[in-house]
Amino acid sequence: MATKKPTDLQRIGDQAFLKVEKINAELFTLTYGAIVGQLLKDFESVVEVNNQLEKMGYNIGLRIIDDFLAKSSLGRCSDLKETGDVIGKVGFKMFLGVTASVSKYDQKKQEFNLLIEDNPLTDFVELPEEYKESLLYCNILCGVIRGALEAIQMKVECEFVKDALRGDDATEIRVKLIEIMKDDIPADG
Amino acid sequence: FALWLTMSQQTVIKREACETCLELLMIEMVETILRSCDSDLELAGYKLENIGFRVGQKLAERYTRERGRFEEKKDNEKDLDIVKYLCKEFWFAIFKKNVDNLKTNHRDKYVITDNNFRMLRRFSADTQEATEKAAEKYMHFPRGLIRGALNSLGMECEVRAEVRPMPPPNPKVPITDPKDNYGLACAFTVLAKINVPLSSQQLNASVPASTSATQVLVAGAGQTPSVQVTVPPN
Repeated sequence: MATKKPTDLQRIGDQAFLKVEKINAELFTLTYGAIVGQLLKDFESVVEVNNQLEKMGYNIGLRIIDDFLAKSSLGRCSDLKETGDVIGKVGFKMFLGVTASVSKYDQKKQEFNLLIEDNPLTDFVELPEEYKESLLYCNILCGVIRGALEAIQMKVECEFVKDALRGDDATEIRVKLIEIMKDDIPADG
Repeated sequence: FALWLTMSQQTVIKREACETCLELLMIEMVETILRSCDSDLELAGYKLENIGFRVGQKLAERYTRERGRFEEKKDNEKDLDIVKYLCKEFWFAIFKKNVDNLKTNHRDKYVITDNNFRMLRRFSADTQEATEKAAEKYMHFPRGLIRGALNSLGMECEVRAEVRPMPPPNPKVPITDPKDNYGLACAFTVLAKINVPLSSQQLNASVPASTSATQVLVAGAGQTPSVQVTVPPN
């Protein structure tokens, strides 16, 4: 299968975003912020909050992949780089209205970095000093990527390497492929 | 708990996101909060309502920045202005439609009905009863959203919600979007907290029967609304 170029994917992403039902992003951003605020009140440690956010993202990812496949009509990716491009140019665009790009791809290590320059989740958000070192405010994104890819048999690990809320110039997530899961369901016949 | 969402003074980029993101986030929010409360539905409801409150407060604050405060009027006219604003401009900005019906007793009670409540669009179960029951835990957030918005607009109140089946489709209106036929209606009852003591004149005036309520806004497809509703451009 021919690898799709990032520019092709960008077009697919733009078209998909045009077609989906949209909402006021502020409602989404503020809701997410209020949820994080509540979790910080309810859970003992910030590490636990980070875990909860990742878990929420994971569950969302498991479901969102169906929506994604239905609305993008894309087939299998030929390599990990293409997977990254698809997530950034089509996935992010279709759901969040912004594109992310693959900023670093290491074929040998089987990992890529996703650079998010414009992040709707963090509109108007400023972390108080006490959380700047520890809170991974956007950890839900790591979970979504992990859940979505696991639903299509790719086991990955996601980690923030840069975080705009903690002073970096942008937000960057490293996605590392751990293994491609074999189908559990045996083929018929 | 220190407020940490800063609102920029400048106008914001009018951003949009896919509705699916919010729908899925809502589901996870309810599940996570429920888990953190050890499935204590009442406590979870309280927390979810609080989350909604914060969101509603901030949103209303942003939308009315240019508008300014609602002017003081006699009796409950100011409250009515506030509720009407909620039912039209605010509702449209959030849910892309106006409220379908607003009733009030012209004192402290307002019933807001949305015949196809957007936040419950993905809901379905085998029976109507099961659907309504499942939808209950998703109503805390919208209740809080409304209470927060009204609070920001200058009205202290309590908000209750009731999920109902959608009314039957109007045979005169052609079905444009099949999705519009699936969903749930919601009736929000707003009970305003009135601090002002009634004047002796008001106390002595004949009080209408408590069950009477006047229709203030009716926006039905094909009908002429009793109050002209102008929809502002998005």
